[in-house]
Amino acid sequence: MRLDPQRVGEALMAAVTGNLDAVTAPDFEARLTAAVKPGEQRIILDFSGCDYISSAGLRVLLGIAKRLPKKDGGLFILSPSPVIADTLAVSGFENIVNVVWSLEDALAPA
Amino acid sequence: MPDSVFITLDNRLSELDRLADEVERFGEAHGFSPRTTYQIRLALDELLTNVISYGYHDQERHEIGVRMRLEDGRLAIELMDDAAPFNPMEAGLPDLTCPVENRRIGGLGIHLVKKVMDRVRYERKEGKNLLMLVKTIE
Repeated sequence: MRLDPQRVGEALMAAVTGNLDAVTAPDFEARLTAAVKPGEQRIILDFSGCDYISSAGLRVLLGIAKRLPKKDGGLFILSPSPVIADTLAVSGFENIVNVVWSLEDALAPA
Repeated sequence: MPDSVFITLDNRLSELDRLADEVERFGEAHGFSPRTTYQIRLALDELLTNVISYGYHDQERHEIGVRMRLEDGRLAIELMDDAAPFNPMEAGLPDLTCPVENRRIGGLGIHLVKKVMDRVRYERKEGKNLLMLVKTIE
């Protein structure tokens, strides 16, 4: 998976492409974690190129979200496909991640 | 494409990509919506990831059977494996209302399976785990 982690203002942004499942999740988690700096506030994951997520991928998102402050930060899921947005919702992730549809919303002050 | 397919997989996670392709082909041939195809893939992935990751206590190669049969607008799926006896329907479910710092992830896969399938039934039969799933195709 191509992550292309980059700084957008104060936030860390990375792309999630293809499948985020039991096969790809460990590598994704390791590479994203390597790009996280101490005291990281806000992580934006661009999901527009992600086709599929399973509970193994959700587990990684939960682990990342847990390490971020809830106030003035957190984990932002940018432009997921409708079925992935569905999967996040039925998994009860509404209060774990912030689903947003524009980079502007992902960068907006909490 | 016939209304019934039987696929065999080895007990390796990489096999799930091949299964996803088969589900995609089956769904496309029978005019399933992308959402329906996605949900079928998700349920099979969750159940078989469990079997492959935790079900075998040796280093041997094992075969897992997947049968999909479409009849009268209902898709019946059977999963057969010779892994350790395990009824996923009896596994604990997560508390989805829990705040992020306390949230645990165990059982989320099974929760998703129950959400996307209309019926899930488990049997232990002749030394094998047998899971029978039913999904109404809209």
